Amino acid sequence: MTRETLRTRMGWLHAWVGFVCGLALVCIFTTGTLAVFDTEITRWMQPEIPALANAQPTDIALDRASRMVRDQQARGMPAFLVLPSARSSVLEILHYDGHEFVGDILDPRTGATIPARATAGGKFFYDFHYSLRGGGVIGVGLVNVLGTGLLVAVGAGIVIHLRALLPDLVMLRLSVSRIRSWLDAHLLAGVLFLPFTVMMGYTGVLVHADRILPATPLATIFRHDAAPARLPASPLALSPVPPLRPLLETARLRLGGRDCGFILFSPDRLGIFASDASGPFMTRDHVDFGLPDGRVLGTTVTRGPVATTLQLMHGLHYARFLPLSLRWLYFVSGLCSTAAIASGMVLFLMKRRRKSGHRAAFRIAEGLCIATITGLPVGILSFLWGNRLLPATLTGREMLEIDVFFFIWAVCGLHGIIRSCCTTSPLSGWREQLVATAALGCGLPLLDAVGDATAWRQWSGIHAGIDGMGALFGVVAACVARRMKDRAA
Amino acid sequence: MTILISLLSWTITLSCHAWLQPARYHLPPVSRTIQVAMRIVRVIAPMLALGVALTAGPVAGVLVWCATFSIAGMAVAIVVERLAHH
Amino acid sequence: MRRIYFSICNRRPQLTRDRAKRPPTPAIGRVRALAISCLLSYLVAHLLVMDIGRMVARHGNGALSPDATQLGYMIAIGCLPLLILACFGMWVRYRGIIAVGILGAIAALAGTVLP
Repeated sequence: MTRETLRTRMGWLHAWVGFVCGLALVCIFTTGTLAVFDTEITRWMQPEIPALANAQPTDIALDRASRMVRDQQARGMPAFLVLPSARSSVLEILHYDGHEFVGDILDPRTGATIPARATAGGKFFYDFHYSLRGGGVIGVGLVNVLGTGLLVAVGAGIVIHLRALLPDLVMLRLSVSRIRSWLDAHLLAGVLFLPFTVMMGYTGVLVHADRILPATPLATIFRHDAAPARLPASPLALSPVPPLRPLLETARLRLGGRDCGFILFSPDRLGIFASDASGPFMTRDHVDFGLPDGRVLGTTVTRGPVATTLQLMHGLHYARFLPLSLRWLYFVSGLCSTAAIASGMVLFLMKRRRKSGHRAAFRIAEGLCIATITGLPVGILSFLWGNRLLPATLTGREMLEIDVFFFIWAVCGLHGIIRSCCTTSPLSGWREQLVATAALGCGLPLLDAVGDATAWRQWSGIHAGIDGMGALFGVVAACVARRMKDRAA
Repeated sequence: MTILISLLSWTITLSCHAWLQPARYHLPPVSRTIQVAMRIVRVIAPMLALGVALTAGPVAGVLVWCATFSIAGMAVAIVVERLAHH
Repeated sequence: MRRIYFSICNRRPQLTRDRAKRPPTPAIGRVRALAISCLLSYLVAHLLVMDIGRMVARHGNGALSPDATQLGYMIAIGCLPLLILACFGMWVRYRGIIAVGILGAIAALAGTVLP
């Protein structure tokens, strides 16, 4: 038996916490990386929306939008209005459906509803990233626990690698033994992207910290007092909304020249909120106006060192203030962090294959690994394919897109486990799913080009970016699959 | 432009870092004078990168600085590995 | 030294007894240690959130309460992984657990003292 030292204990902790949490963390990081471009992915998934470069909403459009919001509120739907921004040039009337914000898209020039296909869009990745589609309590709580697991695994990894951290900063040896090459790749990505991983892990847990660390005594959580009797809601009459243009001008001035992001409508007042894209500090600063006359009721601006620090943490995690170039840096960093976790999981299996490869637990672990590392990209690409292949006028197609994603991913999971448990060559599961990724990824630009050439011309940057990334992943997956085949042969 | 300059500065820094440990990275050794020059570059270039990055604002600047360090590190690692291999 | 050497040499082989008294495998011990570390660290982090909230609210003007809680979160979320690592890593003579336990006791006492 080896002597228990700090390093051996930390090695065990890093391996096991990293592997167990890694199975879900790969999914969280992958979808979080995609959520950096959530608006752009939604635009790609709704090719019917015309390109309206820097279109400012007209008075007619704003008034129509406010009337529509009021109509929806009268029907009991808590809708609000999202104003155009640099990334999205349309007006949106959204409501929360339990998972994400969905609703109508309006032309900012006329206020007419744009008949775009219903889609889960890039918001699906955002929702999956922070809740695993598990809802606000269980899902978010689980993601927070996993985030803490990530920080623990990273801390243990630093302790193990502390001595060689700086000297081996750019060490990569691909021509040595396979296990050493994987270890080098894991260390390289892990160490170089350590600031990004720690920053995202910490700020991510902090966003919903109250879900794992309640500020009330723990005993009170388990005490179920009788719920206070609810007073019957008095039906407040919805006051008419005055023209929004002057209110927006006033709000802009009162918010220190910051752009306005969205408008919340109450029965007797409305609040205009500062845009998240207006700076690194993600605030909920807003100006309240009384209805129906539109007089200013007050300006809420949160200041103070703690509040500002927290706003910065939120801003860094959500990255809504970033220009396109920095958004790409976030995207690449997210991919490399995901690769670091995934390579660590592969390494975990490689180290144990000789000793425990015959065990059922090992085979299942490998199957789960296959489902996570290669199955998830197949699911994501299927989601994008589903958007183009499902009829545009189908009712409930946004849920069908999500069903496609989960169905294909579940099939991949099942395939991975069957291949891992029932065949003599466990690598075949990896290889086949990589081939599927290659086919779907490389086919994505073709599918997009065949679908709607007008959208390609109008949103060329977005289509080139998403199709290009799909093709790139396809090519990389094909290369890896080929290499695996060569090694097996 | 800011990103490119920062990326270039970090690439130079990390290349010098690798070349200052030729045995570890299986690189041809360099003379004493070049080593001294590399040590100076290794200190100055990240500062230059930070100075350039901060022109994009304090928060965005630090983000650019850190992200370009990571990406430059990946690039240098691949190039150094190829060089050592050949 | 000599005495120790001879006492070891003279000891009879006790294979059966050794096998019967085999200590738990390191994995089981480590899982147990990890569970204890997580539980203890979580409790300490939770106490930190509550104490920092109370402390800042007390020294401020009373209107700082949400800010104070947020400050507590920022510190506790940062500390939680470090506490787990300390608890789990410093296992010799339970140093980690004792240190984190003392911290928790201080936090609990502070909680009773603070309004």
